[in-house]
Amino acid sequence: MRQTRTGRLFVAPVLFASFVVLVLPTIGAALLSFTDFDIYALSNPANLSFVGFDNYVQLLSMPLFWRAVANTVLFAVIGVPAAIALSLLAAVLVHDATVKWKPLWRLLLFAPYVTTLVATALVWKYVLDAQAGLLNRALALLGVAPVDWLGEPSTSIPATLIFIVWKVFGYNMLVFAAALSTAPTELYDAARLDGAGRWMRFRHVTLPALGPALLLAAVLSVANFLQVFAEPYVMTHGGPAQSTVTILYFMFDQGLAWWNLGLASAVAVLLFIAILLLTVLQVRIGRRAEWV
Amino acid sequence: MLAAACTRRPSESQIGFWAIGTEGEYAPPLVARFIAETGLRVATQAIPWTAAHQKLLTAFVGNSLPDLTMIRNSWLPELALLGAFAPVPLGSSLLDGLFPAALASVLHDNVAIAVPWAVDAWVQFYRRDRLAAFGYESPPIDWNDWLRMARDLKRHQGHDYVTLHLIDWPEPLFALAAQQPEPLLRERNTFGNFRSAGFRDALARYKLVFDEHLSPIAQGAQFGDSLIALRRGQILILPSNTTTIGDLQRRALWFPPELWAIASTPGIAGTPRAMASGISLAVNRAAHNPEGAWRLAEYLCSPNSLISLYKAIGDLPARPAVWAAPAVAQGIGTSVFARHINAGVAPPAVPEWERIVIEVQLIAERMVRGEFGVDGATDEMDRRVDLILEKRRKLVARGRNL
Repeated sequence: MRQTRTGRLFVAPVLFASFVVLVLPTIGAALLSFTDFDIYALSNPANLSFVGFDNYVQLLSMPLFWRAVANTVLFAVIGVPAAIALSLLAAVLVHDATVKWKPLWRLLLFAPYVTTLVATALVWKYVLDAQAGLLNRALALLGVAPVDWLGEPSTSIPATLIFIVWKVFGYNMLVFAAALSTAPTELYDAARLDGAGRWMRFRHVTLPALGPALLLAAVLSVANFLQVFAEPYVMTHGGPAQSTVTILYFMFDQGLAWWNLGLASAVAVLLFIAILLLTVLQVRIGRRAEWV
Repeated sequence: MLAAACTRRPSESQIGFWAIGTEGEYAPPLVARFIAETGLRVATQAIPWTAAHQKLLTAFVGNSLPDLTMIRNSWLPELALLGAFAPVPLGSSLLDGLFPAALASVLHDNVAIAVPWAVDAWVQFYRRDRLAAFGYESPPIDWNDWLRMARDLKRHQGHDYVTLHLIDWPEPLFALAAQQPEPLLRERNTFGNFRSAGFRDALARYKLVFDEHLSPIAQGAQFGDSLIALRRGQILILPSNTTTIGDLQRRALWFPPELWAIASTPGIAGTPRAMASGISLAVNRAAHNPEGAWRLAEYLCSPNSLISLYKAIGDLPARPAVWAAPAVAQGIGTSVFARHINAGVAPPAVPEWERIVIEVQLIAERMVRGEFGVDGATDEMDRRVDLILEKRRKLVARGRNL
């Protein structure tokens, strides 16, 4: 009894802080999404009115919103598998017994994750530059004609994704590396004795050991990729021809550039629901695979 | 007593000043002279134009606008609606001797909420030597003649271009739009009027420039330095504004003055016209130091300050009297700018204008990239602009005086 009370006392500050900085604003945003709060309302509260689901109806009829949804889905569908695969590959390579200087490799591969986003985005803008960029120079050696990576609507998302995947794979690599080190070596030895090759050992020993970590990485990556904002903001400003406008970019533009807070809040609520549903789904799948 | 210790007397607190764009780089010497003369303290912050609009609105909401700020005149209706700026004091000499159009752009409900500082116009900078080599003394100011010349030049240019209409810059399209008689918005500025015959005609001419490869299809960020392109002859005509005078003068060794000149923007009816634009200085209604802010505004608008600003970056004074000063009167292209400024077309004074311009340009970009034809694009422009103006329509219908 007393222990319970002490426990409650200990978590109370955290619960209070979460309530104030997470729950309250979420409720506030949900309420705001049912109003037409905009620059007119900002100038005079009398210009604010309750509009029911009008913002949601308007959103669903806006081509740019759907374009933002499509762009974001594209970011997530290519980005999540690419980032996780790269993290996994890096983790397995760094984990291999034959690799020397492991801490150094880990440090180098993790470095992009902790460097400032704006600075690295600027460097990548130079790398991806149509005329003088390193990437086009390298491709030219292979006889490929120069590509205006960030200037063409068809290549702007892949180009931005190269940067994002490079930037984020280090985090999951560390998670996977930690999980790999818990996989018992006896299992590998036993599998080898049974005649399992490299792929079979990876499939039947490494992957099951990584299960929970993979689930965690998938949940976090999906949530992160659905909230891509800063990379297109810094590299392309949503362009060219709005080809890199993501849901969050759209929300930022509506809310903070033009102060259509009613509409922007509706975007936030929809995104919140989408991420919540996806997470529930992922956890269900994980549970079926007994990873939770 | 604590409260008394914490609140400084207003005259002692420093004056916050936002200088935007190139002025942000060149205002500090002016401000330094002001500080030396008055002993007042000024904190100048330089802000790029791309971030300025958003930052002004956010600062108003967060109650962190500086005492004095530069502002683009077309943004004033928005900040007037919010009541962000203090009216210019009655009887102030700051409003005397201004270009009538410049004065009109700062008046809201007959109250001046800012002081016109610099006036601007959209003109053509061209390679005098290259055009002469192909038999043209200067680009024609009638659009049809201009187009004939551009087609001729394109034959000589091969893979290079004649002009540069950056696809994310609204000025070239709106310069063409300013030539036609119909208003850009209709019914008390509550609906878009981009389907009008006049705008469709302007948009078709805009499209032609890209369809005939007279301009590359590029965004500013991707194209890089347009002056380098002009110097190398990758383009022969650079439509731009007064800031380019300063840019060219600063790089005179690398780009000698005899290689370039200024001509009017070509007009559809033969008369050069473009959207009026300019920069004003506005004092925050909730300024910590309003007295100091007005003194700084007065100093920055004095003939001496205006002339040194012109010399440094080419900003043309909003006061015709200062144009008589030799430094300005003998400047390159001054007469061209003068003609434009007197024939400038004021943008519709609605708070949504900046958003409308960006939205219309986005559709124009998609049209140039082949997603729309001219009619499809103007339909889409009106659809989007009507949506932006929805709240305004609602309020006007309710009888609000906007």
